[in-house]
Order: sequence, then structure tokens, then C-alpha cells
Amino acid sequence: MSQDMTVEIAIESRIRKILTDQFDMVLPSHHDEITMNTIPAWDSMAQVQIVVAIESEFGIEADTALVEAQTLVALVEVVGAKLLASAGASP
Amino acid sequence: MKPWIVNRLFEIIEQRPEHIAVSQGGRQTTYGAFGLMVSALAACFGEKSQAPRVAICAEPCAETYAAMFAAMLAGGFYVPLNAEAGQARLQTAFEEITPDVAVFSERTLHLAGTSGYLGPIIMTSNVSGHPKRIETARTAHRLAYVMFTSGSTGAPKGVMISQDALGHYARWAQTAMNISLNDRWSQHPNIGFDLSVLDIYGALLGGATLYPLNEPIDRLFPARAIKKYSLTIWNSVPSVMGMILKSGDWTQDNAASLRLMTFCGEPLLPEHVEGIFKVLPDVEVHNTYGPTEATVSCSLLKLTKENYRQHAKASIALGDPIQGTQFFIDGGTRGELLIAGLQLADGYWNDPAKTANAFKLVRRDGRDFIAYHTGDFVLRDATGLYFTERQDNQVKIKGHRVELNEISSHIRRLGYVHAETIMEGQSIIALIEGNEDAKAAQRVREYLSLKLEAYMQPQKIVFMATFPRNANDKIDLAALKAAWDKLNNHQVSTSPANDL
Repeated sequence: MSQDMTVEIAIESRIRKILTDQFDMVLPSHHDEITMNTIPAWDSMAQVQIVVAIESEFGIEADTALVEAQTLVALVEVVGAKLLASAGASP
Repeated sequence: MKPWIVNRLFEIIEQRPEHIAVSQGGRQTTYGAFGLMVSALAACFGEKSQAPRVAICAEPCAETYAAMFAAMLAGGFYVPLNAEAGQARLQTAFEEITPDVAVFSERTLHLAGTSGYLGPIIMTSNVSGHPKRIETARTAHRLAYVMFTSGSTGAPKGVMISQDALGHYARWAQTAMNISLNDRWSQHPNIGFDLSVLDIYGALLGGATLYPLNEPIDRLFPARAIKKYSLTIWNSVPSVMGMILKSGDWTQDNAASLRLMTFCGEPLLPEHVEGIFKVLPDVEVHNTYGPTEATVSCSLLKLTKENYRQHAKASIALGDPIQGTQFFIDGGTRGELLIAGLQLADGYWNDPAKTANAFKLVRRDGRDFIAYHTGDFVLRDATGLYFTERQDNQVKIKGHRVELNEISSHIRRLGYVHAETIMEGQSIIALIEGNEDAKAAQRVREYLSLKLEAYMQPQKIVFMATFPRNANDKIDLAALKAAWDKLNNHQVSTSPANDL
């Protein structure tokens, strides 16, 4: 398993934890079912709380990409990219 | 003669051509430049018809607002459309209105194709610097705009608002909100939702600067946007305030520039007001109430940190009717709220039957009034007028006004005689009488996905062998809800049934 994949899995499990706490439910097992469109309680208010939780969990600041990430897959991607960019900025 | 609204705008343009009218993402449009946009657009609209019907389907920006004034200047009216509304709803609006011309942006142009609009199109990107100017002023159309809202029979209703009604409301806002050129005003609601009307006419007829909040980050973190743009006036539905409070962003540092916050469209809750005053003890808070059919809002309660507890029950009181408006309660102190006065709509577009059903003659104190029957049940006591419940099954879903019957009636069109839609928490549940299987439920789901927006799609579609009925053989909705609860709990503990 490559290092990138390991990092991605670690990010995903931290975000899964945030979503589980937010919705107080066992998340569906398929990625495709963890989206704003498939989870009724995932409305814009929930999105705010998810983004704020991600800001503090990963020490990053919200931007357009993060607030528009409305699926588990997108959240993992955006957070991964932001962490990578900040790691690149400070060698 | 120019209509009052347009006239007032051009007075401001003449007085303060260099003042900023619209500020968005670093782009600033002066009143002078805004006036040129209005004039150019009016010329383009005027070429299409003597009384152009202008559909506007673009994100809020200077050109979008200019198109509204331009439609009136050209002797016509406009139809503001929510670009997020979904294909079926847009298609209905275009079919109903048959616009002479439509305004789109780069972001929304694809919707012209998907919603079947084949008429002339003006792009917001082509307006600035356009050489055309309207030559002769037209006679004002009676209407200012037609706004579509959810309808119980399956089709959205087009609420027709006259220039007189809008003019009355805009004049009221100037005084009640004490608007000045120093104000920087948020523009949060979509243009297809009439709360945006207050922002647009309040700010631009008061010489203030309007800040459309289109960026997703500004929309999700409004308190950060208040700080970024030093906003002085905030206007939104109360649930946005709830979102701000929950986010932890409601701080003195973010909110200090505000002098006035105004709310409409949903019950304002005591915890909203308490949260506001905890951080900004001296800000002015306005609670307002009104259906689209009475031009945005027609009541006002001014709240301070001292007085708000006296006007708080489950929600904050709605306030007194504003000048030119009368409220009647059908039943004395508790019952349906009826509204009469200068801000009433002319009725529903192309639908005299629905108009006659909602706008009815009532006799009070020996006088006759045309009164809009709101369907909102209210209670009046010494401390004020309070919203209690809806008479029908209209609900708010993610901020959108939705009549659950609209969903049921689409299902009935598939041949299911008895279908009812209920809410369970934030989920929409469609219940259908019959012994069908999951395949049939899937067919219903596919049909609804063509007819309704994403936010109106039921989370569950469930067949039940028989619906409970009352003594008159009518479907007993309360018993049906109880039956669903029972079935739902049973399903969780045993096997999945035929829902999806």
C-alpha cells in the first residue's frame, strides 16, 4: 500500500468520525451513500458544523472547495489536497 | 411617465452617480454605471414587445438587479427564477409565462436548454458597456413581478405583485429601516424567493450598497462575510441566524459593523434573539411576517434586549400590521390570519379559480375588504400576535416553502387514487394506498425525479394496504401518521419492507 493511500485512509477515518458524531448514526458502508443528497439530516446547517469540525480537527481554514464538498469522497479529497499544499509550503 | 420605483432609482443615480450600488467579489458598480445597465437592458427588452415579459434566471449581480428595473422601465414586468429550482419547475414557469425575453448568465445558460426555453436570450456578460439606451419612456405595466411558489395541486403558483404594492412596500422599508447611503446591505436570499425583494428595493431605492453573497463560503459562513464586507444591515430567514449561532462564528469581532438585523419567512425563535443580543446588545432587530401574496412582509416588531422576552412564546411575536395593511383573525383571537390592504397580490397568474379561493371578500366593522386567506393559524393576546400552525400541510424544507400536497398530487397522477405525503423529522415520506411492490415504488421515484426538485424528493415511498379513515370515510391523516410510525418501527426491528 502506498503512503498516499495510507494517509487518505487516515483522513477518511477522521472524517467518518466527524460525520458519525454529526448525524448520530452508523454511516452506510458504501461511499456513494454518504452524501448530502442521501442523508436527510445533511442540510446546509449540518454542512457548517462539519466544516467547522474539520477546521479544528485538521487545523485548516475553510474555503470554497471545502464548503462545496458535500460527500464523504469529496471531503477526503479536499482535506487531503489542503494538507498536502500546507506541507509543501513549509518544508 | 416613469413608474415611481424606476423614477426613485433615477433620482438617486442623478444625485450620487459615483456612489457604489452593488459590490460583489471585488467588482463594484456605481449608481451611474447601474443606471446605464438599466437603460441598455430596457432598450433590449423594449425591442421584443411593448409590454415585455422578462424572465430572469441568473445569480444575483448588478446586471440581474438592473434587469428587474429595466423590465419595468420598458413597460413590462419580470419573473425572477431560482436557478437552483430544478428543471421541471423552471419549465413550468417558462410555459406559464411565455416570456418575450430571458436573462441568463454563463453559469445558468444551460438551463435554457433543459427547461425548453427557445425565445430570445440576453446574457448578463453582454450588458456592461452596451451602447443601446431606451429612447422613449413607456407607460408602466400594472405588474412589477410574478413570483412562483409551491402549489398544492402539483403546479407552482405565479403570484402577481403590482408596482403599486411593491412601491408601497419599498417606501415603507425606507422609513422603517432608516436606510442611508452609508448602509452596506447583505443580499442572501435567492432572487426566486421574495425576501430578496426587500434587499434589492430597500438598498437600491435608499442609495445604499448591496452585497450579493454568492460565494459558497460567504453563504455557509455569513458571520465571516459580515466582517469581510463590514455589513451594516443583515436580512435573512431566521434559520440562517440559527446556522450562524451554531457555527460558533457569532462573535463581536465578526458582527460589530451591524446596526440592523431583519428576519422574515419562518418563525423567529427566542434563542435566536437571545444569541444576537448576547453579542450585539445594541443592534436593532426586526421581526417581520408576510406571505408572498402580500409582498414580502406586512408586519413589524422592533425588538430590543429589554423588550424581547415580553414578546416571546414558542416563537417571537409577528408584530403589528404595517401602515396600509389590515390583519383580521377568523374567529376573534385565535384562528386563520386574513390580510387586507395595499400590498395584496393581484392574484395567481392565469388561475382565476385559485385566486378566487384565496382572495375573498370579508366584512368587518361594516366595511368590505378583499382579504388574502393565509392558511397561517395565529393567536392574539395582550403581548402580541403569534404564529401557531399551518392549516394545510405546507412545510419548510431546507428553507424552501413546500406544499406536501404538491408531491402527493404527482403520485396521484400515476393512477394511485390515495396518496399522502408526511414529514418525519426532516425526512419526506410518501404513503400510497395499495398492495404494490418495490418495483412500483421505484417507478414512482423515477417519475417524481422528473417532476420535483431534489429537496422535494421523498426519502421513502411506502405502499400500505389500506389507509385509516374517519367516520365520514375521509382519510384520517393523524391515524395515518400513527400507522406509519408503527410500520416504520416494526420495519426497523424486523425485515425491510417494500420501501426503498
